[in-house]
Amino acid sequence: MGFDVGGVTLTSPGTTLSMDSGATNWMKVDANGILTRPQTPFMRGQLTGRGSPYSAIPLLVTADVNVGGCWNNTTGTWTCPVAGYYMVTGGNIMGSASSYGYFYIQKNGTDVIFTHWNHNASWHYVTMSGIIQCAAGDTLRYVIKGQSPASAGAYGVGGHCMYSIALMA
Amino acid sequence: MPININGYAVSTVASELKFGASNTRIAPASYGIRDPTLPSMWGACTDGSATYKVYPYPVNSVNINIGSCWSTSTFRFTAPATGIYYVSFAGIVGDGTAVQTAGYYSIIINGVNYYFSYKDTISVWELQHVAVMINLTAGDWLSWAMNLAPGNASSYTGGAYRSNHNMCTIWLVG
Repeated sequence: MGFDVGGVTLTSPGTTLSMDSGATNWMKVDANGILTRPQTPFMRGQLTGRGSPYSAIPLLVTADVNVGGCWNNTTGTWTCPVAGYYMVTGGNIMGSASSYGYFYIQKNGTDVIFTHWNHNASWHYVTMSGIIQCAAGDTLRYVIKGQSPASAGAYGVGGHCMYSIALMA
Repeated sequence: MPININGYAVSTVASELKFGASNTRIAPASYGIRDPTLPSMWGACTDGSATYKVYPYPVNSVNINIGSCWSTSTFRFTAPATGIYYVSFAGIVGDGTAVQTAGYYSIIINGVNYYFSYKDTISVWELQHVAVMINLTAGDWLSWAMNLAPGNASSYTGGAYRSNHNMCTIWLVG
């Protein structure tokens, strides 16, 4: 029998503790004290079927996993379901020959952080990670711009590129 | 006075909320949640071998290995709990001599190629960084493949340098 706190129920089989509402397991502390949040908003995905080089704004990443449905494959946009700190990672392989350019994370359509590549050959890997403070309803997206030649972009055919976003706290 | 939930005690210690017999705490006055058993590793390959194309990538030296999830004999991270894990490899790639080499750098889960990157270097000692968050089920294991099966493999000589100059990190996000 659980312990009801205003509709949030604490349950335990004796060695673990779960915080639930109905069948939703919001938080769990296992017998070793490891705390997990199974409903954590999360996506991971790749570029696939987008051609190469690919630099559409924003990048239309296809999610392989999309917990909470925060990522929209059609618009290439993550919408934050709650206020918090979100970790964002992205990695692209640039498919054009010698090129330079910038890889951004945008919040609500505005640049937040970016990295830069300048490479004298094709197939240069460009990555970025960051933790971004967001309000509920804010949007995040990946953008490649400022590149030369203008056609430079990521290999969007399949594999090689990887992206993920999750609520940290 | 603790709350007893089917034998599981939720109590307070020094004004922190304590979960069962574990050291996991919610500390409202200071930091939030302390999770000292957070599954995590931080290490490097330091064996100095000149074999750059390698699977599994032998991270033999660990600075952090909470929960002993990383094995320095099998070179695998075994997830102790179902959740989302941050996975990062950063290190020098190539073959140590040729300026232009190419290779695939892959994340392997349960022996299967999962996500992979690729790099075509234009000089010796270039850095490659591969970071992504991946959901794992308890018992799943993860390792890195450097231009060798079961990851993507090419005939090119690219691989990963094995005498420091690399940082490998995995931790539970949520």
